[in-house]
Parts: sequence; structure tokens; C-alpha cells
Amino acid sequence: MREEARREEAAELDGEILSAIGRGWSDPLDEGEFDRLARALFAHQFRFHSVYRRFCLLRGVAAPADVRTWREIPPVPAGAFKIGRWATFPPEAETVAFRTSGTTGEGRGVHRFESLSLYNAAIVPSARRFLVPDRERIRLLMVSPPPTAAADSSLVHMLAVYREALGAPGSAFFLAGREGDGALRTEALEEALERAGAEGEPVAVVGTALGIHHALEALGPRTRPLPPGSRSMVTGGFKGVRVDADPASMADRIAERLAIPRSRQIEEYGMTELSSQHYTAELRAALGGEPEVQEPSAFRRPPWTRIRVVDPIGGSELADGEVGALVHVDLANRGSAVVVQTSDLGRRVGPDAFELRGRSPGAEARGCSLAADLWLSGG
Amino acid sequence: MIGAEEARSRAASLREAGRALSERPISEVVAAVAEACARWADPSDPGRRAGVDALADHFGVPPSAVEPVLEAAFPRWSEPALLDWIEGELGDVGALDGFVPLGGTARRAIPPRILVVLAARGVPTTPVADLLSGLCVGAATWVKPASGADDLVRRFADTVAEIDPEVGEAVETAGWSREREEVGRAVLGEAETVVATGDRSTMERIRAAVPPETRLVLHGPRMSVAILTREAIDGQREAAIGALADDAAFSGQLGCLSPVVAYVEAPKHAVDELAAPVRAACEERWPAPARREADAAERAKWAEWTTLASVEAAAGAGGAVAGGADAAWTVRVGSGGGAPEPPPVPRALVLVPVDSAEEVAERCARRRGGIATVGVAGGTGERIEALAPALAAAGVERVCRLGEMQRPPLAWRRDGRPTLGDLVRWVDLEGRESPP
Repeated sequence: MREEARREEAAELDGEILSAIGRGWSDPLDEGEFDRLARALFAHQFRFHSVYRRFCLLRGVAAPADVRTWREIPPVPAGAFKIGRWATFPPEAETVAFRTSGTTGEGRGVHRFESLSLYNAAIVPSARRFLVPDRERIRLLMVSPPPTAAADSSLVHMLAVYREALGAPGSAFFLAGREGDGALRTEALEEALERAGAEGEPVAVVGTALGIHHALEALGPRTRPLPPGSRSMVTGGFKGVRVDADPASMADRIAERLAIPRSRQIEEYGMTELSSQHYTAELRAALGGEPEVQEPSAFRRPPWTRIRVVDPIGGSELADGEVGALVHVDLANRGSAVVVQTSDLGRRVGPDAFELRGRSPGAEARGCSLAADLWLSGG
Repeated sequence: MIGAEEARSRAASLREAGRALSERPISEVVAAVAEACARWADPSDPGRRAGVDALADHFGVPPSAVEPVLEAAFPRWSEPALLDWIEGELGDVGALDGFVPLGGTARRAIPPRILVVLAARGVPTTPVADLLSGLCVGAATWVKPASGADDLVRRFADTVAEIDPEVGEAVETAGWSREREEVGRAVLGEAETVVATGDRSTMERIRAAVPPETRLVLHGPRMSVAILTREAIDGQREAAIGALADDAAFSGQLGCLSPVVAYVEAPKHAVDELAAPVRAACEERWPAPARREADAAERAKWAEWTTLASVEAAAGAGGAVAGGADAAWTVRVGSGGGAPEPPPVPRALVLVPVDSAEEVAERCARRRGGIATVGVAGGTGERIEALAPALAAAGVERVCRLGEMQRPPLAWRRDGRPTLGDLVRWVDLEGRESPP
């Protein structure tokens, strides 16, 4: 009976959220609509996730009605996805689970889904707006393993959705195995780059910072100028990646080696614990699609999400420009946590954008293991 | 901070000083180093007093908190101890001066012409120990302190130079800005051996930057854990808390030999009761500024980590948390059944109840190659002896009594490897009628 009630409520919420995503930027949710939907989602998660409910009680929220605005919804720390089973639905309803990356000994967070309908719906409009605003489709050269090799990677799934929704013929994955330990299919990538150059067909080079860094290393010093209109997208917000692949030097190398100007290089910021992504707006600005953009390198949030920048201790919201911890409110996270707190640092740049000021690579062994800092500012 | 030209010039001087050093018996070099250590071992020495004050300023703690860090090092680095160290690792101190009979042949140990140490931020005496290792094999040594690190190694190098200017000439402690790529390359290009400490990505970058013919000794990420046995909790509770705090709070828990997780052979409610006194004992030993004063990155990581305690509590698995944002230290009782999980920030310790200390080896095995030291409290040495084989098999590199984790002997096999043995190049002389 209770499960039936949950399913009904979930279906109703999914419908509303899908509609909100579908309205996208053309008819974005206003503040009141967002607030109502976020609180309805919170109430659902409070009701059907007993651990979250007890967590809220410990945070002084005894009932959904105690929360007067979406800003008061108790955020779930991203690390909670490593503890127990963080889902509002029962195990038998689960269809997909994405796992955070992790190394030996570290627990991996798991984001579980009853259905990917919201997840997939959230991917496409943002990618179209920021990566392919000027064309129907583009050839995607993805420095990533294919979904068959990394079925539990949310990033790889996102790229697979890109391919289906936005990819032109010739789109392909260029890592043979899982990110990090997968071998680069160097020859295939070389051929694809050269083919693009020869055909004059613009492409989008997409991958993690580390993946693109390794690909550029493997391709050697020769430049492979890509046709005008080509673009690149570095995913993952440089999480856990240090100086040798820092955004500025990476951008310079992409410009030098692939002839993709910095104005056509964008970044995507996402995390396994969220369902929606954020993008920088360089390409839109370059295409004149976002003339009002003051800081194109800041990440834009989609209209069905909100970002809070808070003082990590106490959680009070900081003024524009002040650096604090990022709290994500993502309506597409219907089955997990509508509000997720990270230890990533950032600052707000106006109401719809934020800049990253450091991603947390997570707990590491330390002490003597603290990095000897080097002089390397580039590869 | 120096530029590339200055770096090359200093490296040339260092090489020259190393050549002069090689003309002298190693015993003279060791004597000079030992005398410098003796001065730093004397609490009334003006140089040490100034060094202690500087460290206290640097870390934001009173001088009394810094004293144990120096006490754990300099008094133990006597001339006989240094000579024993060389003897233990190389078999014969004389091998650094000429060919000696070793291993059935005549053998000599040649130091690198220039040893470069890329030091990490951490325990202030660690770069000093790195310098000692270089000088004890007669190598001209360049220790590059991490940016933002304390200046103890520079002060110690000044003492060496005062005592023996020629040995002092063979030491360089200048640093360079991380933006000055060309300076780092210039220095590394002069090195015959490079010793560096860092995490995986740092190691990868160093490997790429060091010429292939240069010997590279990398120390990877490590953590340490403590075990409080039932005997310790039942019979020596206060002593065990004190010993745990001695090791954990040592130098603000910045060293990899400080425990970050302590397994306690006791029921959860008893471990919950330990959180507050352990935190208080750590705070007493290293009263750093409150967490609230830390930078935004540390505060953010700490906040997420402590909020997770509430999530665990909500899941019925959580334990006590002692120390909030107004405290310097936080001690949390965890339920971790898997590999030891280090907290993401320093001055934080996780206590984990276990039914039996024997379980710890299995947990450490899940971080094989990543556990530097296990400190054991309670009972007689028999318990340590009993636990040691399983811990060794799990990849743990050192097992000792709790309270001694941050006082390893000079001959400690860091990362399970020789220290001096990794620096020298052996030359065998064969064909003599009989070994000399």
C-alpha cells in the first residue's frame, strides 16, 4: 500500500519535473514554481527515505512543513551516497546505479535510479545549449570508454546520451577500457582527427581533463588543426586533477595542438551524486547567443536547479563573490537527494552562474604524503 | 626564491663542495652533523630556542607544543646512532671512504654527486632527516622545502655550516616558486639522485620531469593506524589515551606516522566514551587555532565529514563526535568495517570499535602498501608480537608500541625500503687475490 502510494507520488513528481526540464530556458521556472516543486520533492524524500528523515530530525526539521523555502531543505552531504543505500525507492525498483570513482581502499558512492527518464531528460537541453547551440548534430570525439566498458559511470552514460541526441556520424569513444586504466586508442583518435581536418567537418573533442591531457601527450608534439567550428569540452571540473592539467594550461594546449580557440572551449561540471550538469558559456558568448554574459568561464546552472554558496561551518548563505562550499539543488534528483552539499568551493557570479574555486579530491592519506609542491605549471 | 641562472650557479657550487667533501673521511662529516644535532638537542641552545619560537609562530601553537617534535629527533641523532645507521644499512662505514670487504668481494659505496630532496609540508624534522641521510653518505644535498613550510631545515643547515663550513658548503636549502618551471628543471638536471614525497599525481609528474638516468626515490601516500587492545582499555585507559594523543597530536598530525584511525577492542558505548577525552588530550598537546579559523577548503571538507556523522547516526550506525567548529581537534566514532578511511583534514581522528584486534590486519590489507605504521597499546610486548605477523602479511611497514609511532629509529625502513641504501651506488672491485 505504502509502495503504491510512493509510486503514485513519484510518478506525479516525475511528470512535473519533466515538464519543468522541458520548459528549459525558453520558459524557465520562476522562483515560486521552483520553490513549490523543490519543497514537494523534499516532502516526498522525507516521507520515503527513513535515513534522510532521521537526518532531518537531527538537523531540527521534524516535518516537511518546517521548511518554509527551498533554501531551508537540509542538504545531504555528497559522502552520504557512500553510506547505506541512499534512495527513496526499494531495491526491487532499482534499474541503474552509477558509482563515483575511487581507488583501492576508498568507499565508492552509489547514485541509484528507479528510472533514467529525468536523468536523460536533464542531459540533452543543457548540452545542446552550451555545446551544440549552432548545429543540429556534431561529430563527437570522446576521450572516454564506451558505455559497455563502464556501465556504472554517470559520465560515460552522459556521453552516450550526447551521442544519441547530438552526435553526427563518425562519433566515437577512444578509450578501450575504464577511465584512468583504459588504454587510449591512439591510432583511431589520430585517424579521426586527421579525417576531420581533411573533410573540413567540425568536431567536438570531449573528455575528462585527465583523459584529454593523456591524449595530447600520446598524440605527440605535432599539431592537428581541426576545422573551424570545432570545439572542445572538458568534463568533470578538473576534479582531483592537479597542476599538470590545470584549466589554463590545458586550454592553451588544446588551442595550440588542435587549433580550437579558447572561445570555443567549454567546461562541464557534474558529479555522480547529481542528475544535472553545469556548463561554461564561452561558446555561446562566441556565437553571440549570450551577449549579456559578463564572465563566460563561469558555470551556468539549468533552470531546474539552484546553487547555494554557503559558509561550510554553519551553512549561512554567502554574498555574491564570496568563496564558500557549493550546495546543489537539483530537481532531477527525485529518487535520491534534492539538495546535495559538497566540499567543492566556489563563488556565485550573479543569480545563475558560479565559478569553481577548487574541487575536493576526497580524503587521501596524508602527512608525509602531502605533495611536494613542484614547479610544473604545464605539461 | 631563486631564478634559473642562480639555481645553476648554486648547483655548480654544490657540486664543487661535494667534490671537496669526498676528499674527507665520512667520519668527519658525520661528526659535524652529530655536533649540530647535539646543539639542537639542547633546550637551552639559543639557535634551538629561536627555532622553536619560529615553529610555534608558524603553526600557531605555543612553544611547548613544538618541543616534543624536536625531542623526538635531535637527542636521538647522536654520533654513535648515525654511525650505527650507516653500518646497518651499508654494512661498513668505511665503504664510503674506499673499497672494503663486503659480501665476499671488495665493495665501495659512492654517493650521488648531488642529491636533491623535494620535501613535503609535514613534520618539520622530516626534511632535516632527509638532509642527514644525504650528508651521512657524503652527498652534497639540496633540500627544497615545500612552499609555505617551516624553516627548520634552513636553520639546521646554518648550524652545520657554523660547525664545519666545508660541510655547510655542501648543503643548499633554497626554494623556488612553483610557477618557475625552468628553475626546477635546472636543479633536477643537476641531480644524480632525487628523493621526493607525494601523492599519486605528484609522483607521476615527478617521474615525467626527472631525466631517465637520474635515480629517483619516491615516497608515496601513507597513513598510520593505532590499536587500543582490551588490556589497554581495561587496565591502562588513561595511559592509552595519553599515548594515542602523543602520536596523533604530534606536529598537528601532519606526519604520516600519526594515526588517523584508532581501532579499539571494546564495545561501541565504551568507545563513544573515549571520544571526548581523546580529543581533550590532543587539544592539550597541540592547541592549534579553532577549525573555524581554518581556510575555506579545510572548513568545507571538515564540515562535510562531520555532517556525515549525522548521516551515520540517522542510519543507526553513527557514534559520538567530540569537537566542533570551535575546537582545534575533532574525534569521531565511526563504524568503518572496510579499509581504514583517513579523515579529509588534519587534527581529526576516527575511533572504530572492533571485537578483536586481530581484525585490523584484514582491514589494513585492503590498503596494502598504504599503511606506514601500526601502533599498539596494551598488555605486554607479547600482544604486539602476536599481532605483528598478520600485520606484516597485510603490507604494514612498521609495528610499534602506541606512543612511539612518531619516534621511529633512524634505521626505520621508510616505505619498507632502505634509506641510505637507496642513495648510494655500489662499485665492486673484483680480481683481487683476496679481499682487502
